[in-house]
Amino acid sequence: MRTSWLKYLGIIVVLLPMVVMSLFPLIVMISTSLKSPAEVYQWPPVFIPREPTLQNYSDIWTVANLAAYFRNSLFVALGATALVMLLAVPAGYALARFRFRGRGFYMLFLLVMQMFPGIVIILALYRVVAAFQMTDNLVTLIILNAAFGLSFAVWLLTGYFSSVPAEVEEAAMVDGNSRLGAMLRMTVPLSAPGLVAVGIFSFIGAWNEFLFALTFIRSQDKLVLTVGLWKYIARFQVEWNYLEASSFLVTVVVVVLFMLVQKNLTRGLIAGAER
Amino acid sequence: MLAPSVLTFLAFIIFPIVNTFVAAFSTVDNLGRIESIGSLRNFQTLAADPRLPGIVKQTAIYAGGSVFAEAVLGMVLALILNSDFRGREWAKALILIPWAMPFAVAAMTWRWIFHGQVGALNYVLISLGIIQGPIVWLGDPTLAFTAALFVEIWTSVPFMTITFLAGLQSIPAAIYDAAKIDGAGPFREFLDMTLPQMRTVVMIVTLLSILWAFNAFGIIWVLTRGDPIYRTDLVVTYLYKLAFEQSDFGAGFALAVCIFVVLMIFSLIYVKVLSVEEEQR
Repeated sequence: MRTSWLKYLGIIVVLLPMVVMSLFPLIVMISTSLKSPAEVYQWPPVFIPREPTLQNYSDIWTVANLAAYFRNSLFVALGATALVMLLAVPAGYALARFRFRGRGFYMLFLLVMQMFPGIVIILALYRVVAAFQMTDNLVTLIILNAAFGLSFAVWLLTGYFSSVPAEVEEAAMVDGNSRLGAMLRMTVPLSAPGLVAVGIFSFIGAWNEFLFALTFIRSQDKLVLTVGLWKYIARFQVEWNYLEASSFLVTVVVVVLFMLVQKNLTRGLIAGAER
Repeated sequence: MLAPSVLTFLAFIIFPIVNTFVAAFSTVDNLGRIESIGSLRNFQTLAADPRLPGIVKQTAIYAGGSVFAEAVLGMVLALILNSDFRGREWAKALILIPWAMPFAVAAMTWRWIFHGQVGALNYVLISLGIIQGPIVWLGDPTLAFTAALFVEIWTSVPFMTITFLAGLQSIPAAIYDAAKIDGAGPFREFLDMTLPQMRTVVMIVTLLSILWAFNAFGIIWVLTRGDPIYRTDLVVTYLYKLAFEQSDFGAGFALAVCIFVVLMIFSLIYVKVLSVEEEQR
């Protein structure tokens, strides 16, 4: 083939280095997490530890407050996911099934909201949260994460619900179901893969969130993983072996979830979608 | 059925935006509470801030530099991944890893890689004979800024790549057959056939990643926290520092309004590009 030399040049010069680069932090993470404290600061460092140990993975539960961080992150991420689904399913359904004034505008609003950075309104939120005395409360994180994950979720769900033909529902209604019954018995189960994808995206979003957790949580025992680990490195002498072991555990959770849903990723952002 | 979602947006996004505007044009105390409405003092304070021009410039370089590098790398990777070869699916999955990692955790690991004495980067570069002794990467303004830019690019290339890939795969194969008959080389083919087809996708992705540069708070905060001496700060981190470290909520609100206006301009262009594409279908 004419272009094959170019292709192989590309694979060797660009693709291979990029794959290595993508994996590099993960490799360093795993490598460091298997080292003894003495070996971490050794020069020259080695990528494959001379005496690999799993000690760090058992120590982190007592050295840092990791169990609490995990519990809090899980609570926030699951809470936000549940709240997003509760709010987004009816909205996505309405946008998929009904034509009404302002629908196009709302779809555009959702699209723009998807990349709205929380930092722009963080000061106003700070005041609101303080006024309601909700500072240092994990529920605050659930609500804010849900509010910020909502637009992407509604957008995706609208697409999924639209792909279930309305005739399926009408048939169910002829069989004596109410509209709600038809929606819950037919459309929602038929969109199950979409619902799962949206749920996982919401979970990942809340699990990875940093800014709100940094701003609104004060007490040690209420910290979530991202900020908890960050506070740990802000200390004087960092035990990187512990930090990287914890980081690896945090990462594994999302990488696995992410790989399950990555095919849906471009859908919300790029597709001008069924309007 | 829309009401719950609409109310959520109104309460937690629209209301705070309005609130930000009102507060920006008011005098506020050092906890951000409004004292009296109708004042330009916050904007005057902000305009008089000697650090701001540098930080705005840094933000522009950060956004522009990352978008350019990401677009080029993403396009090249997408073109490669669009062709057939063994291990393609693996390469695709592995390329996505940076995107999947929680960026706060990724930034922490990069901080460790950039470690001034025993970091992996120093080790690799010394072993390859590129540098003589360890470099304190995050201690020097230019190097630290470059490091932050690098991490930003690292996290965003995957999105660019798979979006471009999706775009490439939607180009009908027929137009390439015509080019083959004309005997066009691979570069001509890319410039004449592929790129025009990809125009909208390129524009959308570019706009999106400019907007994302305003989401870089976490990366900067974890990696450098704006150090040394505000040289790696962006408007988004500086806004946070103004309010929560310098207790100048007024200037913070004013800066938030400025960022909001810039974001709105880019968002409107984005919506415009999308609706043009919609009409062409």
